[in-house]
This record gives sequence, C-alpha cells and structure tokens, in this order.
Amino acid sequence: MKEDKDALVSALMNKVSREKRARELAEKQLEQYSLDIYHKNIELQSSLLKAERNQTELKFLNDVSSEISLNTSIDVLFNNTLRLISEFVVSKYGFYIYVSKSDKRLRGQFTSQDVDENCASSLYNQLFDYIDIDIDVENVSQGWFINAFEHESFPEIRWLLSTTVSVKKDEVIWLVVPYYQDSIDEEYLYVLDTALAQLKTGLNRRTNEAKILKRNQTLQETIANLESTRKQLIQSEKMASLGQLAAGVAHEINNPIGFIQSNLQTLKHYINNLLSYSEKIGVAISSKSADDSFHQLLKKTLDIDYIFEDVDDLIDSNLDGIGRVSEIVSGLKTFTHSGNDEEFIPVKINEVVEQSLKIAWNSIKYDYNLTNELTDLPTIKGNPGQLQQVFINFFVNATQAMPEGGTLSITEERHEDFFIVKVSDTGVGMDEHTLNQLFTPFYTTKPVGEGTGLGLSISYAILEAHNVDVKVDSEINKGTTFSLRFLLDDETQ
Amino acid sequence: MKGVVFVQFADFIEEKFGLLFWDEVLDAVKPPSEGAYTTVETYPDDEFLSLLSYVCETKGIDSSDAQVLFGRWLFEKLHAIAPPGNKAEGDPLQFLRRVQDVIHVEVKKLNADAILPEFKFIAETEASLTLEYISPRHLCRFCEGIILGLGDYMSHPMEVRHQQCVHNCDPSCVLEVVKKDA
Repeated sequence: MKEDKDALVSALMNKVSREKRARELAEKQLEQYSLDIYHKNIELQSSLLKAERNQTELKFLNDVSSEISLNTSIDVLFNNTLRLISEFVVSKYGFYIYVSKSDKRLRGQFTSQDVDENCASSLYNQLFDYIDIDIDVENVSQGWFINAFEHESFPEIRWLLSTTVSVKKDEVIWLVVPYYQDSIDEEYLYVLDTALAQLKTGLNRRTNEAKILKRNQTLQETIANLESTRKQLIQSEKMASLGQLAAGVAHEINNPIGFIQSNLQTLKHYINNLLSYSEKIGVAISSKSADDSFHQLLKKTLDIDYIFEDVDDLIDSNLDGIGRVSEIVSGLKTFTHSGNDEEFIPVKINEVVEQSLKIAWNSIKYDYNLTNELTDLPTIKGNPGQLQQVFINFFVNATQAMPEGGTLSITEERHEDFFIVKVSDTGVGMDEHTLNQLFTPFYTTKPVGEGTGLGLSISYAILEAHNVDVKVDSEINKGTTFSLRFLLDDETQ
Repeated sequence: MKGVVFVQFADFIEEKFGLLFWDEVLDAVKPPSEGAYTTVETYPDDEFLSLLSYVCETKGIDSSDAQVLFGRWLFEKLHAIAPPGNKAEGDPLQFLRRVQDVIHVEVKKLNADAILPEFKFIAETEASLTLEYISPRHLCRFCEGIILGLGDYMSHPMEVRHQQCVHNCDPSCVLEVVKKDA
C-alpha cells in the first residue's frame, strides 16, 4: 500500500516536473513569438515608411512628367519644375538662373508661403560664394552638384543642390535648391537625377517639335508655291495654244468683218441713192412735174427696187456676221478666263464641245470632215474654261494627226452612272512608245518650236481633277480615239 | 507531428491506463523531449510511434486498433480547440469536405510546417462519401478513428470501410465513409 502511494507520489512529482518544463518551454516559445512579432512590426513600419516615401517620389516624378508634357512656355516650365523640386526636397527656396557667355541673371524663384521674398533675394546674393556658376556653357555637366552651405542668416540651410540644363547653344539654366537636412539620402539624388533627365528629354522634344513645325510651314509654303506655279502653267499653256490658234481665229473673225465691211459700203451707196431719190422726188413735187413715168424712170435709174430688195439681205448678213464674231469672242472669253480651279459649276459637255469647235473651226473647216453626234448630255459639275481647253487641245491634235485630211468625229455613249465622249480621228495613229509617253509633260512629237509638250499632260491633269477617266486607243495609219468617261453625280442621276 | 497530438496522447493514456502507466511509458521509452510536451512545439513522428508501440506491446493491443481508439477519442478534443466557424454542424459528410477545403487551409496558415493529409473525393451519395487518403505518414487507421469520433460527436454513427489500403500493398488508401443511420 505504502509502495503504491510512493509510486503514485513519484509519478505525480514526475508529472509536475514535466508540466513545469513544458510551461517553461511554452513561455520561451511565447517570448520568441513576441520577439518575432515585434521584429515583424518594426519591419512593417519601415516598409510602410518606404512605401510612403516611394509614393511621394513617384508622385513627384509624375508631377514633373505632367508639367513637361504640357505646352507651356519655357519660363512657366522651369518655374513649375523648380517649385516641384523645392517642395520635394522640403526646401523653402529655389532659384533658376539664366547663364550665357555674356550674361547671368535670375529668371525665376520659388519661396514657400512662410518666408519673406526679401530673404530669398538676400539668399540669392549669397549663392555665388558657395557655387561656381561661371561654368563653361559649351560643356554642361550632367547630374546634380552638392555644395556645403554655411551662413549666419540662414542657419538651417546645410547644402545647396544645383544642376544645369542646356536650353540653346551657349545658353544654360542653373537650378539651385537649398537643402535643410544634415545628410542627403542617395535615393533622393537618384529621383532628382530622373526628374532632371525627364526635364532634359522634354526640352529636347520641344525643340524638335518647334523644328518640325518650322519645316512643316516651309513645306506648306512650297506646296502653295507649287500650286500657284501649276495654275500659271495651265494658263500659259492655254495662252500658248491660243497663240497657235490665233491665225485661224483671226481669219474666223476677219471673214465676217470683211463681208460686213463690204455690206456696209454697199449700204452706204444705197443710202446715197435713197437720199438722191428722196431729194429728186421732192424737187419734182414742188415743180409739179412729178408723174408716174418720172417716178418709174427715177426708180430704175437709182436701182430703188433692187435696193429695197437687197437691204434686208445685207442687214441679215451683217447681223449673222456680227453674231459669228460675237460667238467666237464669247468662246475665247470662257477659254482664256483663268478662273478658280476649285470653282465647279454645272456644265453641259455638248455645249463645251460646240464652243471649242468654234474656236478651232478655222483649223478644221478646209481639210477635214466633222461629225459631231453629241446630243443634249446630262449636266455635270466642272470648270467650262478648263474643259474647253481640253477639247480644243484634242481637236488641234486630231487635225495635226491627219496631215492628208480626214474625219474628226465626236460621239457619245450613255450609261446609267456615266457617259463617254469619244474624240476620234482617222489620222496616222501612235506607236506604243508614244502612247506610253502621251501624258508625260514636255513629251512632244512635233518639231521644235511647234509644241510645248504640255498640252496633253495638262489636259490629263484637268480631266483628273474632274474625276474623268481617259482611255486612248490608237492604231498606226488608222487613227486615234480618246474616250473620256464622265461620272454623273448624285444630283444629275 | 504537432505537440497537441502528444499532449492529447498523454491525457488519453492517463485516462485509459492511469498516471502510473504513462510515467512507466516515458521512463521506458525515454523520448528526447522527456515527455514535457507543449501544444505549440513540433516533435518527431518517431517519438509518437515509439510511445504508441510501447503501449501496444505492454497492453497487448493491435497498433492499428490503438490508432482507431486514439483518433476516435481525439476528435472531440481537437474540435473543442477549433476556432469558431469551424465547428461540426449539419451533415457530417459535408463537414469532412470542409476539413479539406477550409480547416486544413486554416491550420496551414497558423503552422506553415504542418504535414496534413490530403483527401481526394471520389464518389458521394446521401449516405456515403468515398475518398482517397493521401499522407506520407500512412495513418489511415488514425484517420478512421477521427472520422468515427466525428460521427460520435454529431450523433450519427459512422462506418469506415477500407476499400484499398497501402498496408495491404494497394497503391493508395481509399476509404468509404458510410452513415449507419441513413
């Protein structure tokens, strides 16, 4: 019994001792846990601080970047960037100084709200005792300078952070920011370096943009010049072809003028006869000698019956002659009118063709047959003067392609969305080489001094501007056909 | 193996065979920890197996049966210390699913080094759940005991059938848990 008790007591003692050890172990573990948690807490706090700082740094860089991307003036850009840098390094001041070979002056400054502007001026005057600002403007260094600063008026300022940014050839901007902490964190300097790099890239971009803008302007001017030259060229080609036609046109005008002149002379003679007839009848009546036989004799002598018969014809013939001259002049007027290229008005191609035929008529009428089968075509939008120039050019070319005479035909083909006008000749035709060069400026088969080589190329440009497709079919010794496809616009369909 | 198993094992042996016997076990096995177990510490698996095999040999119990007995007894103790929200409620088979998806995840959060068995659920009916038990410790009978303890606690008698067992040279352990009252 006693042995059992002793054994139980011993076992209990053992258990107590185990429990005690277990408790000690557990407490130790608890202490370890507490320590771990404490360290983790410290770590967390430091991570939090770091994260906050990273956030500030990122915000700063982001602000600088946004500032640079704005299209502000260089002065505004430097002022705002200086403020951001000063605020980032928790400084109360900031200066930016323009330096060239011959000049050095303060261009802008930042002062926090709690300091006096006068203090800033006073500090600015001290700066050059601490930093060597007379730098070589041609060799601008990268990065930030750190100079120690010690002045009784500004006991809190420990350092001056400064850097240079090249703005133009031989011109730099100095950025100077006082720093208040005893030591400068390396990470701050990395961030400031990044901001500086951003600023420099931004400035480069601006310079390049300005250059591109200038080049663009020059290009625009060149294009405008080219356009005006092109217009002049069209006009001068028009005048040149008019020059070629001048003799014919003059003949067309001279012809009616000639018979009008002759008719007028006849009419003058008739008027004289009529005056004499009237006078003689008057005398006879007052001497009471007028009788029918006298009257008949007088009429016969002065050809009065014939005059009355002929005067109507003469006047009709003159009116017709004047009409012809007037039509030619009016055709020439549309043709020579330089007008505005963009000025498209409703035109009928059959009318344009008729006007053109009138001007070129003298070149056609003697040696060629003309077949104009155009009917009343739908109205399209176009420049009548330019289209006339095109047709005259085709007609003159056609006659020149038929030195032995032939037929010039103008026919039409109607379709739902377009119509085709064909100008055909029965001339010498063109070989493949000429066909390929047909619309090339300054290419001509005519002898020197006879053709500019610009006619068809200008015609082609005009037709292109009118959205007209041109097709050429030609066969040697058979003839050539130009097919012009005019699109109907929505209004005319 | 987590200290909580050792602490509970000590209580289990004391409860079943008395303090004197547990004192004898420790004296005979001489575990490196000297039996001063705390729930927060982790101890070698071998230490537990040495203690278990001594108990089985001395008391003439089959080792597998001892695992079932201890597991069945242990469920309620473990359940008592489980945090709120992880208590066994509703259907016991559903709770088994939650052990894998929720409770083991929570245990891992607190004890990153804990080695936990993995259950692969193979088939399920209203009354049964077939799962593959995967653990390097191969304590499938211990697992059976815990499942039976769950049934006891929820007053749903359960049966665990070992369809396959690595101890019978099968490639894996497949347990079919059946609700006996269904």
